[in-house]
Amino acid sequence: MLVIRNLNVAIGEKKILKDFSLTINAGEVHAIMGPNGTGKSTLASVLAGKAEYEVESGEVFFEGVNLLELTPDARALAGVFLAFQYPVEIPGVTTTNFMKAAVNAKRKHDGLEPLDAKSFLQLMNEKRQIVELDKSYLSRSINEGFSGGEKKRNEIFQMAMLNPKLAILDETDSGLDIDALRIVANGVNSLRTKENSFLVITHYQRLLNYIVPDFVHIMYDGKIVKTGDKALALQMEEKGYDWVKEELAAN
Amino acid sequence: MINEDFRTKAKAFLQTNGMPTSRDEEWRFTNLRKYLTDATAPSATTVELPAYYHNCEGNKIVLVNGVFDAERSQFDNTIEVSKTHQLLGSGIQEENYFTALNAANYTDALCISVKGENQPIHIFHLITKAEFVFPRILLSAKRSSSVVVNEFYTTASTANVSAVIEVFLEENANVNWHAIQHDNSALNVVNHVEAQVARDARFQYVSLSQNSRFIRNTIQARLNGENAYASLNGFYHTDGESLVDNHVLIDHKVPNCESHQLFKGLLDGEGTGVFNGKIMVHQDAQKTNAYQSSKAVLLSETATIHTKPQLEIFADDVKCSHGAAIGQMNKNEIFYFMARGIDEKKAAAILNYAYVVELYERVSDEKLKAYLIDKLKKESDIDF
Repeated sequence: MLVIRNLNVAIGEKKILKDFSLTINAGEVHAIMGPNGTGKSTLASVLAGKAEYEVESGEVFFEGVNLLELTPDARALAGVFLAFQYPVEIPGVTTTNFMKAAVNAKRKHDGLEPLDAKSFLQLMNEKRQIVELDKSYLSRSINEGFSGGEKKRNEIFQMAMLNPKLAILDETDSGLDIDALRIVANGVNSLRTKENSFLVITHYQRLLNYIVPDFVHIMYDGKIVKTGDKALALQMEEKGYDWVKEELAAN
Repeated sequence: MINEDFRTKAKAFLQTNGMPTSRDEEWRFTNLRKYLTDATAPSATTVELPAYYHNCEGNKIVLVNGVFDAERSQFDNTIEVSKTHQLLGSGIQEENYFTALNAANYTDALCISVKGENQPIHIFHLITKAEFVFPRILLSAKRSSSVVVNEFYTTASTANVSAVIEVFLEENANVNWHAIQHDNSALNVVNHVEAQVARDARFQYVSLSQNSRFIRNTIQARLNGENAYASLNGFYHTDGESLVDNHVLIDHKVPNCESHQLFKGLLDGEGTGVFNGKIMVHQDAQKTNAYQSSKAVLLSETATIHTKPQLEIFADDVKCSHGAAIGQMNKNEIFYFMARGIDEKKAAAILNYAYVVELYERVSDEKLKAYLIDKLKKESDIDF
């Protein structure tokens, strides 16, 4: 589904991703862990198409299509979804209207008529329950005055509405209390199928107790330095990231 | 009548005062000569009433070049309409060039008195000539009365307007005034509004200034009695070489009053916006609450905004705040939309709509509000 080969990315003079490679197949859940400043969020932003990053070399294919040539909206329509680490607050636009525009853009892309008001409401009601999001949030301005946990739940709600093929969760767990973490993880788990894939970027192993990954990658200094299964995440938690750094230095 | 007195004074004022230049602090950023020179331009012979004339309910008053048109005006007998009024001229505290020009030149004033609860009053300005026209309006809102006034400008060719509006609110009166300054690419208007607000009275003003050539609104509310309230608001959109200048003053003369100002601009092309918001709190006006917020978004490299908050506070126990923000389209917001599959153009349209509609929401006439928001949605290609 997603093939990243030898990706090199910089912001200005600073190189952030260095020969980064990763392959994700349909139905797989991959977790990327690593210390702060190692390029995890850059990876997420580059995949979603954020403008300020410069791709110096390498390639990214999503279902055979060169993702790097697509605008961010075209990537989303193709089925890539980014759950933001810091979702923006947008005064004056309700989540309902935002989702109406997004769902109908997707339907147009898929050659479908816009959803009628009733079906749209039904869809919203069904999906918001996945993340236990109260109805009232949907008629409020996007994320305005939301707590950290509410913002992240809103991200997962939007993911459920758009039903992407590949969902990238950028530190969706950071700063969440255990209840919010459980709700977010349940939301993600209920959307797992054999067809869609997840790339879960996290700083903490804790999330992986709830979202059990097929693969765990340790990222350091712009590339993946170690790959394993969920046991690797536990090992990381126990020994800390210094263990990886030392091991790398020894080699 | 008293009228001749202020006319005489105005004429004398004009003998010694010419049209302001950019050396005048109140006109620093607004080059009048650039906008008000084309008085010899060809005129339209007829100007149609806008669609809303046929859609609205309540009292309709038509002014053609500032002069009352009895044939197309219709109002019920709960409001009193006359050509003059004993208070005429007394609502202007400080004469300036344009108030004097109007006083010296207006033909008949439109004087309206209201008492009790009223149907909205819609005032339609039709301008059919390029020479200056001088609408002069007075509204007297009696004790505990309430009324909504909606004002519309329509012109088919170059128009130069110097309007003066005096509003007198007696105790506990409620006046909501909406100035719809829309879709007149050849309209130049200098609009002076001054409200005298008595104890427990509430004055709210909303101007929506879009797609016009030149608009200067001088909006002044004088809070003369305790517990008086004023809220002055405006949205302005400039494009091409158009200019909208809002000069706002709230004059807190007595204790325990409250005031709000919210002005938002959207500036495109080589358009210019000017906002000058003054809050004056006199020494006696303790326990004043006064808030001002001014925001402007620049959509092009060549658009300009001049914004100046001016707080003059002589009392020591007051709450006053002001905020001025100037920005561009927020790239993070656009990206958030695009990451959900919404294209850049649509994202910008939705974000602009959300920014603008806040002022439209302040229109207190539900029917007019729905009409304007519907129009705005169509213009912005919004389908929710």
